[in-house]
Amino acid sequence: MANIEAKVDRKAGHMVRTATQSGLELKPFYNAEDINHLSYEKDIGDPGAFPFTRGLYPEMYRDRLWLKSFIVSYATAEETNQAFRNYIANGLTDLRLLCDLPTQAGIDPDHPSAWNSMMCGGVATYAIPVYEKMLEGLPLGEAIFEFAHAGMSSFLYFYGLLVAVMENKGIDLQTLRGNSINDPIRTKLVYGCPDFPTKLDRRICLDHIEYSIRNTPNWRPIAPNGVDPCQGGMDAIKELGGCLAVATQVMTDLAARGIAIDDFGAMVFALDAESDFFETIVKFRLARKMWAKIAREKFGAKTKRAMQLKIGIRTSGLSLTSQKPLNNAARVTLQILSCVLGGVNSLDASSIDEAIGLPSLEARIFNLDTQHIITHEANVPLVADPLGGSYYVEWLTSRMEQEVNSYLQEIESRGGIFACLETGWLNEVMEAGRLKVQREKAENKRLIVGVNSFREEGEEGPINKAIRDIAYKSPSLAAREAMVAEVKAFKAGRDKKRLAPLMKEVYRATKENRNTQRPVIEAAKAGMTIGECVGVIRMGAGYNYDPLKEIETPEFVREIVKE
Amino acid sequence: MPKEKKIRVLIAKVGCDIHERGALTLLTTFRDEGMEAIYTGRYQTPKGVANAAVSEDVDVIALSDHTGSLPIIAEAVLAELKKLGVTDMPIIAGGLLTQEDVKVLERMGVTGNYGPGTPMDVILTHIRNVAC
Amino acid sequence: MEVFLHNLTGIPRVDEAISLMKARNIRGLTRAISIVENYEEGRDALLNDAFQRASEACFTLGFTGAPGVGKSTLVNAVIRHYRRSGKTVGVMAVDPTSPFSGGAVLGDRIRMQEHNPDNGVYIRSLASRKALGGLSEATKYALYLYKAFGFDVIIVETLGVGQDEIDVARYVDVTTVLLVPGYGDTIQMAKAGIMEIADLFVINKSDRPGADLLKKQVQNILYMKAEKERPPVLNTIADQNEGIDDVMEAIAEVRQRKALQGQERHRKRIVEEIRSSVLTRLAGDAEPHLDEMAGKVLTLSMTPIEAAELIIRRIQKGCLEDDEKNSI
Repeated sequence: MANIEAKVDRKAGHMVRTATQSGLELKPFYNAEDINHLSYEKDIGDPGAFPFTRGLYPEMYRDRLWLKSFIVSYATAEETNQAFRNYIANGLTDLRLLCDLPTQAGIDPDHPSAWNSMMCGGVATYAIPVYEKMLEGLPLGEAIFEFAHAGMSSFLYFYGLLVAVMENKGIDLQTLRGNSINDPIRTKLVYGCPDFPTKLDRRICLDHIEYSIRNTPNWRPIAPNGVDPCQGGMDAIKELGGCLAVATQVMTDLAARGIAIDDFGAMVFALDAESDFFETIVKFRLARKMWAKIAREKFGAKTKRAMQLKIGIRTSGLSLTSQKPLNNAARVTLQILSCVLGGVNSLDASSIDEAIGLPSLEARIFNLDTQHIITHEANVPLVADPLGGSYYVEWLTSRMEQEVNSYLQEIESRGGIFACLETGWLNEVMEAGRLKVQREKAENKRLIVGVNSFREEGEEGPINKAIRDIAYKSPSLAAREAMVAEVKAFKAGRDKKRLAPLMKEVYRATKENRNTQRPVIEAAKAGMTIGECVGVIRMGAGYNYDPLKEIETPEFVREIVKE
Repeated sequence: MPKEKKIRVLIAKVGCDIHERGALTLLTTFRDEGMEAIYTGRYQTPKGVANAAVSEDVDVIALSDHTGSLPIIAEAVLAELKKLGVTDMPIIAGGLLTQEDVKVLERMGVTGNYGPGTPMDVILTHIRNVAC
Repeated sequence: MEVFLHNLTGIPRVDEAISLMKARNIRGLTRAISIVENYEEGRDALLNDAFQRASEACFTLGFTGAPGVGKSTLVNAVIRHYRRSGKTVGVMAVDPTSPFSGGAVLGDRIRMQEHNPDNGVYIRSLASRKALGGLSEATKYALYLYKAFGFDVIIVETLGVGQDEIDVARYVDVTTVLLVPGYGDTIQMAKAGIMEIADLFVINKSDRPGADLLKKQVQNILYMKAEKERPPVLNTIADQNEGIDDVMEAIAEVRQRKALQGQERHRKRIVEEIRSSVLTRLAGDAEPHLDEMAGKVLTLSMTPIEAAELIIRRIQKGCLEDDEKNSI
């Protein structure tokens, strides 16, 4: 495959495409006729009024700016705790709690498959003492927590740990704020998480939501995720369509458990800020509009809150390039700007060095400063939805709505989002999208500056070089060995007499189709690890203990599940 | 090389790295270049990868990883291959790599250690070179 | 035992493969399959050796069905069943070759990875390459290599599209066709051939709505068959290991029933194998003439039928010349 440089004149130049990133064809300009079919009241509305196209609140950012969040995740509990303290000291209270990859897959650090990715991407939070250490001294009742893990077991277990830590400290659960991604489609579609099969994912998802709605009302227990499918190949239309389909299915399933949409409250979507500037803005406006309509028309929402969709953002990591990394500063800045213009609620922006390794602190501060500059120097957030009423933006919002609606109809006609996942259809759609992008890049119909176009020969300059020199080191052999020893010692030192009946209750609750969340909290308090939590629930649902089928059921667990 | 010979490549992921896009891109690219690409899927053990490589009689093993642990993975896979009596199976690696990692890998005999953004034709040329 | 990928010993690859096969070293089999797939030097000698040593005691099973029905997951469970009783299992997983590039993505191993560390299980992914309407040549011959290697059970998994799902039935003892509810299966089923080849129907993912309806639909179509030949229709949830014992029982029954017609079936299979070899050979012989003939048809100096006739005559003449040389 030859990598042909695009023939674009650097001085005058021209556009190489006439469609948005999702392939929506555009005219050279739009006028009043293009939005004749729209009604201001029904389709657009003032900020703070149904259908919330222009934003959730009348005052918007004047009243409250978007939350600035970062994934703060280092190899050890101590480092991560220190980082959290630093961020809180700087006024950032939105804490993204992650963990290392084996833990997200639902296995303990002493599992043979944990070895090479142990402590990668975060702390190996295998049990409550690690969580306590990680959260030591932090103002738990004042922070906002976000769970963005991959496996569905993570949301059940880590929410369980968080509640357990708060209860142990005597902190009121009403003050627990934040959200779990808890999206049973994304976990398989994008990550192929092995912890639970889809059927069990779907049920565990509901267990977590149901418990949370009844006990921690300020926790948003699901945030359908479009970011990761989008990074996997879905375009903006399918990203938004997928989130709406998941949210719709979950609300339907919750109704069967006696939870109505007005009990549930506001919905949260985790969406991607892509490089296509206007399409991204339009996606956010449309997401609010479509959810408001679904909530009211399909689920009969009566309260304003239940019609509102909050949008949490992760900017596109995939759009960043390792070639000429300084260019990522321009990309991220535009993506942040599209989020502000689109009225999002929280924003986790990528750092310019992310295509090369884990982000450095300096790159993060730069990222934060970019947001401050957009706010306080450029004055962008002074007025809500400044693009509202633009012929182009309103037309594109309405055009994309048609496309999203027909995608939703297709999902429906194929038996719903879960059937689409299980037949492999969703994967095919995502794969086709990924291949389309790959082809467009190869054929120079999608230009990536510094990659397939505008490349310079010769040495790179000092700034690019400096960005490249930041290297990420994986944990040493000694650190891994110490971790395995630590887990084994922890397991051996637990009060098994206290733990066994509590774990049995997790098993029983699973088997008898009762909600598993409270039993998980209790067993976690007594030292049940993530691997054991996954194993016991799997066994309760009729599967084998180890999701990776490499280890035998531990003797201790075999005793517990004996009838 | 016989006229019907097709290059068979095993794309392998070891451990709990959840990032699959790189592996999938390689899979389809190899297919489109007339190769037979076999994918192990995620969450594999080094022993499983070695066994798969031998069972499938592949010409090259391509390790993909984004957790920064390619040297550890390559070392483990090489050890498992040796247990099966295979000491000359070419291995290439790609994903998140530091300059230090590349040096370590090259010392082990793992070649073509590609970081993000490597042009596909560079990878393809390298595979064709090591496969025959 | 160290076996080099690259021939450093000077022993021809084929001889090495044959002796490794005899020593029951798995690398002999893996290499033998490659030799057959790649039409390497000594291929015929290798196959003749395999034909002579192939054991008819091997039990061969075919699994076929549309993408996404869970073939690999079911096969995985079936492997587990045989491994429990200590039987060795050889698996051939066939995936289609891209008609555009000649390359392929082979992904069936993913669902059978739990057997990767097990020495009693051998799994090989094969691309269909250019099969002449059906199972690829390499797959058919690889079956003999597997038999010569001497597995207790041999499983062939094919994608249920085109001809290969029907073809597979000619080469194995018991053919299982997989269906899933809510996937347009009735249309698939109505396709000619499927009903004839299935010894057994498995409705996988039976926890999904529509499983009972699908079962009824299949049974309704099967009523046309005589009762004692009517294939059983079973429900499974393969990823939860549900219904697998029933499938294994049914497979054993079908095997017994068909063993009664063993001689005749064996003869039929050999007829098919010869036919298939002849066709492949002829197609190969015709290949060099095709372009020239296409030119003649395009310039209207000949019809395609006449062109075919001419090619056949040329091939025959070539044979005659060979015979003449031999007789001198």
